[in-house]
Amino acid sequence: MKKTQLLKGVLEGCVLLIIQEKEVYGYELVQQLKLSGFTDIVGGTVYPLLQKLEKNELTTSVKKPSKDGPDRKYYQITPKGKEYCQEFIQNWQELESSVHNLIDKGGKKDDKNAGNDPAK
Amino acid sequence: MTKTQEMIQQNNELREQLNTENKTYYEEILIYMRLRDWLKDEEDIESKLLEILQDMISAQKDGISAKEYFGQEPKATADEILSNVPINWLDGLKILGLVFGISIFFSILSNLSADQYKINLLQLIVHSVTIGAGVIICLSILKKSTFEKEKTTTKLEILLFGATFVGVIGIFIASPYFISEAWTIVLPKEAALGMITLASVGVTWKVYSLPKGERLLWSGFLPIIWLFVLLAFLNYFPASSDWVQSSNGKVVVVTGVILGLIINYLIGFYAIKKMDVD
Repeated sequence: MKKTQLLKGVLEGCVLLIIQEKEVYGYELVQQLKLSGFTDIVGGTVYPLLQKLEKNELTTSVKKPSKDGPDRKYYQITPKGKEYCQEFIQNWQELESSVHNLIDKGGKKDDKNAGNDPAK
Repeated sequence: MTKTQEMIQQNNELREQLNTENKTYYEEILIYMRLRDWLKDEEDIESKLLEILQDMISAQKDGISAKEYFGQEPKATADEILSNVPINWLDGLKILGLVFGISIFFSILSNLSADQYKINLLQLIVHSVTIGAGVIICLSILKKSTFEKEKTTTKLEILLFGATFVGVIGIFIASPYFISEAWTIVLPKEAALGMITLASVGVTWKVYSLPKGERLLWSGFLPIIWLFVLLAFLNYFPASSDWVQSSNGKVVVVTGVILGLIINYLIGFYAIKKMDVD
């Protein structure tokens, strides 16, 4: 499965986790995602996502004055968004442990079958 | 100044901070998103455009190019962003009302020397809709041509523009034949005069409420509009209408109109120059 497909389901939650930590503006958010390891992320992916989050009332935005020019839009988490984060963390942990188990099991099986012809 | 106008101005100023390459990349996105369906909320779109611009400038400061930052699929991304912008019915209605109003205005003006002011309602509606449709078609053609790899205007586009133009003119010419007289209403002269005076006052007021640069640009039209209103009044009073209809009168009228157009052109030219410098 391509990385992008895996990423789709998880990106919203990750963005919210960042915003929950600290209010950010668009560019900051992309930087944070990159620092966390999402090196392939681009602004183009983030903007529509931010729109959807605001539409679903998981985030809200405020304009704050900036020394470099016009006010800048900062994204903040809402109570609904905080709830979403909790659910996300829980779901992710459950999912992660299930997948982890499968990978482990598969790993153990491979060890046992070492030397045998897997086609048989 | 409305919020939207303020944001557009800020955008114009801020854009200068981008280097040539980034500026070109961004401006394609800018034009594409501004040519949106005229129903989408303009304030929302300008807000998003400004946000993206600010972020691109931050990226540039960190040595990241606009393309690297925004991605390799600007058109697809722009489409996605636009799809999340809500439709603003009120603004759409305002624009439709404006087109309708302009049609009525010119319809009355073109009947200057007639004895009665006749307005054919259905024809008016057809004209307004035709202009509206024509404009939308032209904008769609422009929108599709943004992001084209080939910067040269293709023959197809020219053909489409031409077809639209011909279509609009054709409908204008043909409509009197197809639309029955039953829809015509006769306006008493006073009412017609009242309407165009009110409209001219409204336009003048609107022009003066525009931000400085735009105000100068549009104010060139005001003398012409008021000239026509004056003519309509002159035609109304028996004393002066004879003069207007006479050959002397007509010469003066034509000279006045040409002068007005020249002044308008000069003012417009000066205004554009001033905007570039600011």
